[in-house]
Amino acid sequence: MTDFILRAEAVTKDYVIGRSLLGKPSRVVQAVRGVSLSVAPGSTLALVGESGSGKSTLGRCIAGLVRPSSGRIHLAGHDVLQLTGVSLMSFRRQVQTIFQDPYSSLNPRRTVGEAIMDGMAIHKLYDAQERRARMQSLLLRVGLQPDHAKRYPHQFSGGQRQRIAIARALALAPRFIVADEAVSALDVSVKAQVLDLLADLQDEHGLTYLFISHDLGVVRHFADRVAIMSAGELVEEGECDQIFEAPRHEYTRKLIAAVPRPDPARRRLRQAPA
Amino acid sequence: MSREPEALLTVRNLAVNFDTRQGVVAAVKGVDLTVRSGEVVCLVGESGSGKSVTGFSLMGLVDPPGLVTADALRFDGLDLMRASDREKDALRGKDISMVFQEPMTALNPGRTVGNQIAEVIRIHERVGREQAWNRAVELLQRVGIREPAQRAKAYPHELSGGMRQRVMIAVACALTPKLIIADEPTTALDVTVQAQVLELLFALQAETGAAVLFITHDLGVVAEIADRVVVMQAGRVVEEGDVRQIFERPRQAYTQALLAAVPDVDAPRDRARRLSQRPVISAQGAPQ
Repeated sequence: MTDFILRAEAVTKDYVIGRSLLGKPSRVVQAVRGVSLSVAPGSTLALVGESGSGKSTLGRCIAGLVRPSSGRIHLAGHDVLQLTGVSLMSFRRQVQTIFQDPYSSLNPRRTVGEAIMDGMAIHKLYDAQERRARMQSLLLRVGLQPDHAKRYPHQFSGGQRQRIAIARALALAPRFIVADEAVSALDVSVKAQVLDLLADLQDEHGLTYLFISHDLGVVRHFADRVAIMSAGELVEEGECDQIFEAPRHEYTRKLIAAVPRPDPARRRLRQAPA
Repeated sequence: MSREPEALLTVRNLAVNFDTRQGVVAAVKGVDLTVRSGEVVCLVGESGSGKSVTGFSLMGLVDPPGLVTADALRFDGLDLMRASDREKDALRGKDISMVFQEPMTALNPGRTVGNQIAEVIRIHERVGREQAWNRAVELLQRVGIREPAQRAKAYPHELSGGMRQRVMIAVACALTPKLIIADEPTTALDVTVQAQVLELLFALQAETGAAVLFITHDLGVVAEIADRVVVMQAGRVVEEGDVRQIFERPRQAYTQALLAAVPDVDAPRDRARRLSQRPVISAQGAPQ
């Protein structure tokens, strides 16, 4: 059996959105319905779906940010549903999350340098001087300047803020990164740079990514394996090229067909001018 | 050489400046743009390129401290630089209409969608309430909304994102405009919903013969719909051409880099491939 870094089994997450007078759940949304997944270390699994498919909720369950209603999740040597005290600290160091909007996940009143060093201080890694040196080399590594450390998040563009979020995630030398629509809000050229950076960092550090995205072009380029979700369920999962070239499910086929191709010779909607 | 068809919209040396406390910010720096009748022109660029501000300035939607200047701004024989507010009001919503990215903020949350469509009709035409309402219901049916008579009584928050964008299109098409300015109308939608909304918009476009100025950063969408493409960067037009020339023989390094940066959904996975080999000059510079 392959040693997977992530094994999720029959994960379910229900949200109660309405209760009866006596407090019994009367309306329940099943955001994730019995999803099982495995990810090999050093690889990228893309979790793909449209809005409301449950992909982000599953990602949050895996990152230990949301407690599943049922199921089992083993990630980086931890039972995610049994985390307390020391094991929780160890899990938080090894599993990091990068969100779509770094502006709302970075504290606006902490400088960028502080944001990157905070995690190291909380986990009592290195001494103060080493933390500073490490923070500066991380800024350089993600394409920023060491003197950017003194600035605040609002002084950066969206692409730069996402680089800061990546530097902060890397500060604790994690093994597993959940990237939830991490490049979705970025411009085409900035998105390309950030994707390249994530790929290089994966090669350098042997990182494993759970890459949550609705952008099928990005997924084809970036993922080793792809899991397609719809209405809380796993529709299909497979090797990247297989999913795109020989999808087994009608839903997957429909999703791939709907992507507009940057090639006027293949247009379907309007005829190109002569 | 045959005579060019008459331009519907002519823009010469358009500039938009914002006078802020930190100094003047030039969002658009001398843009020339022509849209002919029935033509679909895509205005492409990254954030900060000035593509949206260009669209807004054509509708007269740039508010102070924004200042719009141009050597020429003509629409369908009317000089927009000299036109009175009354003349411009007669145009907006009728001959030129607009579809925005976020229908939730463009639609009035406190009024039913039927009322909002009927309102546009009553502003421009002398028709009674009931007649306008009936036309609103008809329009909702035309944009593919089921049970239009019931849906007309719905408020925007009661509709999905795709439905709201259909309502926006119904508002924009209510008075058979000559030009529709669409600013990222499908960017916030899921890919399957995007396909449906684009299909609807361009079915109506073919039916009415309206010209469309489509503002987007999505090169896949551009390839799908454009007759002509105008590429903007940092407030200027860097390249302009027909859709095939832009995608098959881009002349400018910026256009080439932009196209190279789009991941190809049909190319086999290659772990070693990188997207940003070429230097890309982004509009978003490092902070000073």
